[in-house]
Amino acid sequence: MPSETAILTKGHAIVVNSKMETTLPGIYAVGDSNTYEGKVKLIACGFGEAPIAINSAKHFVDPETKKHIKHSTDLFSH
Amino acid sequence: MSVKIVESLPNVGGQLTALYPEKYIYDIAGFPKIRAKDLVHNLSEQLSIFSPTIITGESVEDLTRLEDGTWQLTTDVDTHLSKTIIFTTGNGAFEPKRLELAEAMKYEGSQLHYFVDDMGTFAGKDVVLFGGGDSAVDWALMLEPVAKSVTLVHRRDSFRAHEHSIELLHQSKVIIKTPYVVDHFEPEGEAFTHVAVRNPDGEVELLKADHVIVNYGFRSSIGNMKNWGMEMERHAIVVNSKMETTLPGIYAVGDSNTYEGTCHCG
Repeated sequence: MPSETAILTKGHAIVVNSKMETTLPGIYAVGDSNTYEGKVKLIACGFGEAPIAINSAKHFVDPETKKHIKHSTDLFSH
Repeated sequence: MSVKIVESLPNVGGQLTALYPEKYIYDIAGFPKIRAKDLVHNLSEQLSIFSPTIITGESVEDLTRLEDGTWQLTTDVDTHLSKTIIFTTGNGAFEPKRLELAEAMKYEGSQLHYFVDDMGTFAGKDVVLFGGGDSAVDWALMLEPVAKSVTLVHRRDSFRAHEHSIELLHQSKVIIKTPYVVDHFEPEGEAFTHVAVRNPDGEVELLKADHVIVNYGFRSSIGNMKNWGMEMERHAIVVNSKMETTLPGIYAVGDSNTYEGTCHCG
C-alpha cells in the first residue's frame, strides 16, 4: 500500500481530529474505532461523534452545505 | 464526588422545557421520536439515580478562584464552592419577556406566570394565556386537558407556530381570542378575578381568569461571562477535545462551547 493512502492509527484505534476526520480525505471514524486527545469510550460519546462525522462527510461531498444543520424538530411535520 | 446543578430558570430542561415542550425530537439515538418534555422527564429520572443537588432560580453572576484553587460561583442568591465546574449554559440564561403593566409585578409568582412549571397549579382553573409563538401554542395544548378552561390571546390573527400544532389547537377546546392584547387586571383585594383584553378598535372585554400565563418569548444572555477569564469566541466558550476551557478545572459542554468541527445539533 503506498504510504499516502495509509490511515494514521495509534494502537488499534484510528486517529481523528475534532471533525472526526481521519488522515485520509473523506474518511471518518466514530466510536470505539477512533482515538483523539481526551477520548472516552462510551456509547454516549459515540452518539455525539456520529453527527459530527456525518456533518463533516456531508460537507466533504457537498461543500455548499451549510455548516450549521437544521434541528430535527424543523425537518418533519409529524 | 458530589454534584450540584445550578439553573437560572424555575425548572430544569432548558430550551426543551421553556421553548418547545410538545415538539418531537427525531435525532436522539435510540428514540425514533420523542417529545421534548418526555425527554426531559426521562433525563431527570436517569439523573435521580445519583441524587444530585438541584438548585433552580439562581443566575450565575461571577466566577472567581480562591487561594487554595477552589472555584467560587456567585449567583444572585448565594455562593457555591467547587473544585471543578462544567458549564452547560447553552446560549446563556433565559429571561422571559414580561408584561409591561405596572400592576403585573404584584401578581407574579401567585396568579401571573411566565412559565408552566407545575401543571397542578392550573388543574380545574380558568387560565388565560398570552402569546402566539410555538411555546404559547404548546403550553395551551398541554393545559387544555388539565385546566377548566384555556383561552389563548394573541395580538395577531395568525399564530407563529408549527402547522401541526396550529391544527391541534383548532381541534382542541382552547378558546382563541385574536387580535387582542392585554389591557389591565380586574382586582379583588390582593388578587385579580379577570384580565381585560382589548382589540384594535379599542373594545375591551373581561375574561375570567384564576391564572394568567404570558409567553412573549425569552431573551437569552451570557451576562458578564466574558469577564470570567475564559477564552471565548463570540458568545461561546473555547474548549479543546477534552472539553477543557482555558481555566484549570473548568469545562464547557453543548451549545455553550466551541471548537473546530463543532456541530450544534439537536
